[in-house]
Amino acid sequence: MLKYFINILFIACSITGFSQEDIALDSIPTKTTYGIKIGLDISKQIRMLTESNYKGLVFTGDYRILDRLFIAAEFGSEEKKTINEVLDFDTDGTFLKLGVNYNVYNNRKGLDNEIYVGFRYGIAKFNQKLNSYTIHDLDHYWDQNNVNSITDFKDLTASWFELVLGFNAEILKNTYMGLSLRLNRLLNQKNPENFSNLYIPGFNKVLEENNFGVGITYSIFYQIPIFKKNKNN
Amino acid sequence: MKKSIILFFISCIILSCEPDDICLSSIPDTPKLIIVFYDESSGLKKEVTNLKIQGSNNEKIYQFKTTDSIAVPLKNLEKITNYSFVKDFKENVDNSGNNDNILINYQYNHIYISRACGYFSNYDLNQIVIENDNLNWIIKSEIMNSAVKDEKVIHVKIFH
Repeated sequence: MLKYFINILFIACSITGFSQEDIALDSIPTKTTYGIKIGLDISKQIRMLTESNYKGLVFTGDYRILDRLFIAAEFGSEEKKTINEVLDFDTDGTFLKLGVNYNVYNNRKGLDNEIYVGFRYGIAKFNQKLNSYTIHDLDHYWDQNNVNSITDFKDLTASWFELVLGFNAEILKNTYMGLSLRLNRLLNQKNPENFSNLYIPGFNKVLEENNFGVGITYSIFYQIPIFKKNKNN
Repeated sequence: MKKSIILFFISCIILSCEPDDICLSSIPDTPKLIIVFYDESSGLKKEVTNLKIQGSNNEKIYQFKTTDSIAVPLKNLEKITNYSFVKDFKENVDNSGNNDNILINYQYNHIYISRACGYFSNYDLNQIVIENDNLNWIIKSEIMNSAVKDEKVIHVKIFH
């Protein structure tokens, strides 16, 4: 996990290395747009094409409050069936994430791209359905190891914290494409009785060894411009 | 930029090798019922000669040896497991030796372990019944520990 942090740090360093200093001291002030970006995390739709046991719809958005600071939110729902050698269970639920992005990128005149770092606080409400499981019994003398009985676990909850690293590039006027990487840490969860939250909508796969998780988003945004403001250099 | 892409992929590879997905052999298995044989008069451990253990309605012989203690698996989805314990069994002779049928009555619980190992069973013993056949080699049985949670203790004593 430490390696992951170091890698993230390297990525952050190499990205910030790209930021360019404004060379020309223009006498004409640059104007930048302030607005609300509304988007769809299409990484979920891509995942639906490659993974038959997954369904997800996630909306995302941000609102620029300062030159470099954005309030960001995401909400959506996910349905996932997990089958491994010993378990078969379904998870479905909704989640909401709130947080901020801080743009570390120095745009050239007239451009409005972002390379940002940020955080989110996420909450999810979900249900799990255990369809079948295997009894860990190396002695197969009675051959009664596969249990097919459905157990429902309703109204489970979880909360977590995410570190975000990403970029948004303006590909058309007011249309952005963005990619972000997430490092999640689970803060709180309501565990089902005699089972575990192995997948949490919004959080992604949960590891039982530690509280960390990872995520990725790939979003298309449309920006509703509200006002323009002079960029103060 | 190339550097960061490579680093990103490396971190993905590191994260995808999760120890979470492998059920380690150190994880405890479903416990078997530990039965130890004692001499009725002296109260000391006593071997049973050529003991054949076979589950009722099970075609496979579970064990055949001379021993003073055994571990037998219980059914995970039924509350009763029946075994036939044959003393002085001769390998090539059908129906040889003295057969005693033993009935083990218990409650089972399936307890969650982990993503990779699934569940395991624990049992609570209710009673052990030795079927009376007028020629029993087993004199009596005694439940020492009714909770079958591991294989570290004796669960049942059989006197013969």
